[in-house]
Amino acid sequence: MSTSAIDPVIHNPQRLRIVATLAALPDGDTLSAGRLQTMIGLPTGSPIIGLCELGQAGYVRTAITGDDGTQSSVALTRQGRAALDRYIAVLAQLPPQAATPPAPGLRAGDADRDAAAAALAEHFAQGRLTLDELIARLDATLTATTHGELAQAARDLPELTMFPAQVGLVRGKRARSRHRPGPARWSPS
Amino acid sequence: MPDDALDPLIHVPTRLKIVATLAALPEGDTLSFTRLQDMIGLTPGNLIIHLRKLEEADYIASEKTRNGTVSITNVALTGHGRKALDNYTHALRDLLGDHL
Repeated sequence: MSTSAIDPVIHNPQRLRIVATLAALPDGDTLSAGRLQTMIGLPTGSPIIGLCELGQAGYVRTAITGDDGTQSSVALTRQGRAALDRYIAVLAQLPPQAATPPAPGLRAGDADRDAAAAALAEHFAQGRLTLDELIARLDATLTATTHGELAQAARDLPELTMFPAQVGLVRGKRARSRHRPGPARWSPS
Repeated sequence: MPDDALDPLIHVPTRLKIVATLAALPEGDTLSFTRLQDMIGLTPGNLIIHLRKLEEADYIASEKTRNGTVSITNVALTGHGRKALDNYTHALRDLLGDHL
């Protein structure tokens, strides 16, 4: 991702707040300017500065309503909605934060022990452990009471890129799709 | 700073990318200055300025090591910086709510 891909019109905190608020409305709904002011936390009567730029970018449509012409209503345009979607997609491309491992002294539960045992089995399948080593480590894993003990049983093993169960699932699906009968199956008999 | 405010130090797109890149490293790991520069695609001068700002806020820590004649600068996110990114992510999630 290049940082220039972050839409600067939306990225500004106040404008982001306006766009997010308007995007929460059902398509086609408008909001009065006064209501928008309150929703984004501005005191009544203060100008909504970001609206000008959003209007210029074609993201927001402002209309004068009311008989005396003093009321105005604001809505997100289709273009604005698409821009917000793009903006969110760009944010989603940022690298995910590394999970912080639980503190070694923290107590481990059954799910933690099962996951650690499944990981050991996968390492055995991938040839990193001999059968004797696997058995010894499974013993240690299944009787571990803390995350530190679980980590100790996997100390010299690399991180698995995919959860073992998922690997199996993907392989199974692919294998099946290869053997699936062709389009003939769908033709009316 | 109110809870729902977006940390201006992180919100700047380039710094957001620096912090997110460093946060993707497991805790305790560091990244060399040149590697970070390649990953983010900035000029050295530009990157130094952003890193200095983040270091002043104690969001990152840098360490210079000398290896013979070559000196290497390594950068890492501090616990404080990781927490700041967490807060920022939460604030953004609150703001964008259902759209994420």
